[in-house]
Amino acid sequence: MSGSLHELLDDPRLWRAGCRERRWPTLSSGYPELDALLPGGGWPAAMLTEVAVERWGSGELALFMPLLARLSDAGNTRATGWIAWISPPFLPYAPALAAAGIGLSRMLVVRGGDDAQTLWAAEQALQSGSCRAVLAWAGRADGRRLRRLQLAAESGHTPLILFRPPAALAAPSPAALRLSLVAGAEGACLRLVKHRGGASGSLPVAALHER
Amino acid sequence: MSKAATQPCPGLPGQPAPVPTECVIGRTPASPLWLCLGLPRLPLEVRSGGCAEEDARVIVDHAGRVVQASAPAAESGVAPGLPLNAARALCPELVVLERDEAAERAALARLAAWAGAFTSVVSLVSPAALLLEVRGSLRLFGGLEALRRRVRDALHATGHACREAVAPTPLAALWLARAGQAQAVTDPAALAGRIGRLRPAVTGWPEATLTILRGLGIESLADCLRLPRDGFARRVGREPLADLDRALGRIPDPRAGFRPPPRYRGELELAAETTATACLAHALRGLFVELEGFLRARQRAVSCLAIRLAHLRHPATGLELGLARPGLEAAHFDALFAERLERLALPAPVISVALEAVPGEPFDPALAGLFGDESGSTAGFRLVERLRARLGREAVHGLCLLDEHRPEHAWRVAEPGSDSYAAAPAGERRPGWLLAPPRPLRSREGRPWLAGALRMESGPERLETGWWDGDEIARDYWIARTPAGARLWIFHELSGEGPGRGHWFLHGIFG
Repeated sequence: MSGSLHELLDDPRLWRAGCRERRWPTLSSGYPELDALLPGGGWPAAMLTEVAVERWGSGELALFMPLLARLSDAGNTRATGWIAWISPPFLPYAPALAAAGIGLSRMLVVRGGDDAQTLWAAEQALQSGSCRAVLAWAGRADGRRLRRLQLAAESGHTPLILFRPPAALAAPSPAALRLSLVAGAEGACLRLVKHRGGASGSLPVAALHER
Repeated sequence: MSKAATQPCPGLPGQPAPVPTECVIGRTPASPLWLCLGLPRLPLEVRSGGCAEEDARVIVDHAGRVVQASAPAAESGVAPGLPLNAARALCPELVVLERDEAAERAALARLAAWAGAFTSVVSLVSPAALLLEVRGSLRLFGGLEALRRRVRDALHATGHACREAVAPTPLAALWLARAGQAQAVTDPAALAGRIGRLRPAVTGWPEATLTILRGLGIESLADCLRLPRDGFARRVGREPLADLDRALGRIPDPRAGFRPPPRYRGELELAAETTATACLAHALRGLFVELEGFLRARQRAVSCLAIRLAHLRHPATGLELGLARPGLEAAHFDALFAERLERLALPAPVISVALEAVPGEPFDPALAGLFGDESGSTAGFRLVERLRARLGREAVHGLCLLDEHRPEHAWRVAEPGSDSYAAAPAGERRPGWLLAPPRPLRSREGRPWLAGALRMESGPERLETGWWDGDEIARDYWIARTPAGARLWIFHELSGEGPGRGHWFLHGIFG
């Protein structure tokens, strides 16, 4: 009886107010300062993370480069599992990715025509269980679609990082973690908008950016 | 030497069976076992696209007589042999279709090729039956019942109704199948008893022969077997006697093996014009199952399927389904086609579907996930196929690094999963985002401008190369920052010929 209760309480979908301890497995971001800021010490390993980006070029890719480098496992040529880029706003530039240590043979670039197709493709990628990580760029996404993506990320044990316009933060979201990357003349600043069971905080990303 | 050994001709009057049963069996280490698949509804099925029994329809021959009636038509009393007028009188809403024997032959040949997945010995029996020698396949499929279940399920998926029977001789299997006696006969000794219970009509002997038998008061094949051989041969004929001997294994019954064509081509006429995707998917599912059998028989896979949807007054719609990796599973083809159908706009209702495929490379079971490590990679390629089926081939790609200094030539689009042979570049910083082609920037007083004057952070990095292929560049690259804080990769055009000489361009963004 108590065993099943613990099982229930350990369900990552359950958000217990006032409980700060880590409720989901995480993946280190590769930046100690960032890990210290993120609940659980890293990016959620099988959850939806939403990042609202005010302006492209404020270090939004750099945040995830060490994680992608580790997940793509460049040294292992027989590694399986895609790093899916779904509807990126520009071309991911292969020389920069390679320089960051990302294995290019694991890259899967998908251009969905519109937001609906982007979200569909992201869900397919998560459900297939064949992706190490899914990055997607979408403008409009209703709460129901996001919930489906969140469930797909959980069932596929795959992190989903969804880049959204800042206006999207106004709407509620089932994401485990919501961040906002605010541009500024002296470098961008990363702000924790929402995460389950923890305090909010912010971090100037200039330090990460300079590496 | 006895007369029997020198003269194995069947049915000499008064002569006992010339070749004893053991002799036939003795030639192969294990006695053969024949599975007969009778296709009693073939005339109706080839003209109804997998919906043969849904409405009242009949197949008529060129003389205008009913050959076969669907279940709803039969309920109204329409029976084979009836003139068409009488059938229409019984059932006014009858759909009348002319028999297409060429399509029946083609369908039977395709099924024979499909059956090659279960055994290497397949034989066609006109007009509508297949004989499969399955003794050698029993171990592979886990016994006779398991094999029969597999065959039955797969045949059901192709959309054909089937009557099957198992017997030690091909003719006995055929007769039992015609009589609908599904219980297997595996013991040659029990054969005479089971055959004996059949009515003479199952043999397909000419009507004249059957009339003679009726005249003799013969009700079953057992009655035939009880008659003296010489008398039977004289009064009924030698050929029926030889047939009985073949069915009982007393004389050999060699069967010509079916030789499959080099490529698969299947066509199916739909029951009615339709735009319903469910109907199309259903019709193609049958063809996909046939194709899977065809491919399994050859241990080959395909990497591309050609599908043609024919319309009545419109050029046919052609589709190509590409597979990221060669495959042969019908369920996989099915999923890909369903994905493709969703984004397909049909110009007109479809009247028939056709599927064509050329078997390609040998099928590698390792790719199909036989080994744990590869199953992940298979799922990965399945994902690529699914995405491509819906979004188009070009919308899904991988990245590859090239050994080049020109930024736009330092990478290219590649098949997902392909390796780069160039090493990661060292030295200068490169942006995570590339703009292709570079976007012209405005300039004010010679300085680049994007929502404000850009502040140069580092540079210039001069790239002057590519003279050998006519795509020469001469540029000074800078890393610059907008007033709002975005970091950009921009260049100043130096080359003389280009229209943009002296202009600034945005080429990348440091994401």
